[in-house]
Amino acid sequence: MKNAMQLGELEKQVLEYLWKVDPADAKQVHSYFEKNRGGSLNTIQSTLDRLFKKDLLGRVKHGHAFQYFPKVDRHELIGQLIKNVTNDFMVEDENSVIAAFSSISSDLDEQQLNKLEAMIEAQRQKLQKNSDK
Amino acid sequence: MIYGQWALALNLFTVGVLAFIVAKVFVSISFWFIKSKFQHYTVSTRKSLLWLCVLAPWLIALCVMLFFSPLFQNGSVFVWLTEFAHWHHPDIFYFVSWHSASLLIFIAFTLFILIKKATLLYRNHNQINLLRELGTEKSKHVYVIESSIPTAFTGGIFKPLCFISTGLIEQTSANEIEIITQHELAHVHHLDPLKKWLFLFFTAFFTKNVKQVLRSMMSLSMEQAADSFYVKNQQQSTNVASTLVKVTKLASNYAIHPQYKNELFVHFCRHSIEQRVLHLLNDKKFRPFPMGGVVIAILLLALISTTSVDSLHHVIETLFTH
Repeated sequence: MKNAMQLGELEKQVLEYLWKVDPADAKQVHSYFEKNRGGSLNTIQSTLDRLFKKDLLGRVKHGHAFQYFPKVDRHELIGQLIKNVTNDFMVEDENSVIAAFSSISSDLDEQQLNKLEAMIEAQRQKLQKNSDK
Repeated sequence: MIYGQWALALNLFTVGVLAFIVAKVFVSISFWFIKSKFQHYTVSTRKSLLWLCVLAPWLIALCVMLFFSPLFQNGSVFVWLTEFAHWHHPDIFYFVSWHSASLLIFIAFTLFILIKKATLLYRNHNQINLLRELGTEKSKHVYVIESSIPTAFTGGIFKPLCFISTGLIEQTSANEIEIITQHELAHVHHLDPLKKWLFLFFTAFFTKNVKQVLRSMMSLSMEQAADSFYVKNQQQSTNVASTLVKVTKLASNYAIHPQYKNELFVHFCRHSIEQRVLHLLNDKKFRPFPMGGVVIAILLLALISTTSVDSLHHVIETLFTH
């Protein structure tokens, strides 16, 4: 998957279609979209070509035509995007640094999380008592 | 070698670069010694102080450039200071000199940082756009994305959007999702992705240790500000705190999955959970903005940078002749 990527509306629809029917050639894709939204075979052909160049589709030659198939499935693509987007602004070695700001370690395990939960519960009960008074 | 107005401008830029370096060193040292005091201030004060730390070297450099310009050097008010801080032959600039070398190195480094961060920005912008196209709009600024990864985050520099995964929605209650959504919407309201990007740019000029602490402290402050944004009472605070702990548990369970080993996807809870929970539960009184201290520190920094430029100039020129 290329980093700098933007999808047009038709590209998105074609990709969604191929995620369902994988694989298909330009004529098959065109016949589906002709009924649903119109557009020429050339438009579909160039859309498939753009998606191929964006590394989202793969293709194999069958006779005179290319058969297109998605290189990544929908969940994999979304997972990869989430990973990229969230890592882009990640602070390096965050936990070891934040310890300098506070004496409390931020490296939490299950036990520490349970301790925090107990603290929250205690606070809840304190608030409940105060409101009952 | 050039003479006249262009030479004056280039000499002033060299002065600015030297002042920037001096100010950055002093800010770094001061910050390192006072960083533990930041926790005694409110989140908004902490954010302001952090911005001040990263912007101070630029502002000081600008002031020192102005001071060394004919505008101030010819004024009688600052005559006493021009004894300590002056620039020899400001209307002559040698291209083959340390002046020109320091200027070129600074410009090259700044351009390098700018291009690096702009590339990150561009890539992030495109990926957020693609995520938006693949997601479903739930409400204004909020998109649901089909993924088993239990995640919620805000992305997009100029038009930030919140993304919540179906994996997270399935494993949390409607009330918890509301808390997570409000937290992410607070990031949208504060334009945090843009501010984070700008902060990344300005901190890039600091050394690795200082840079990491500055970025971590800013990230934590932004998360704490988002945690408390819609909190009106103590009851709501405890609800946000318990959601934080629950989502952290979900995320850490998910991180065990080999496919996502070492990844903690949920940004809603990724920044120092203990400190955020304690901040939500605590009703401690914070100190007011240290206006006096800040004004004195800036004046001192300006004075040190102005006088150091001249001293630095003399020290370098005892080693090199221009």
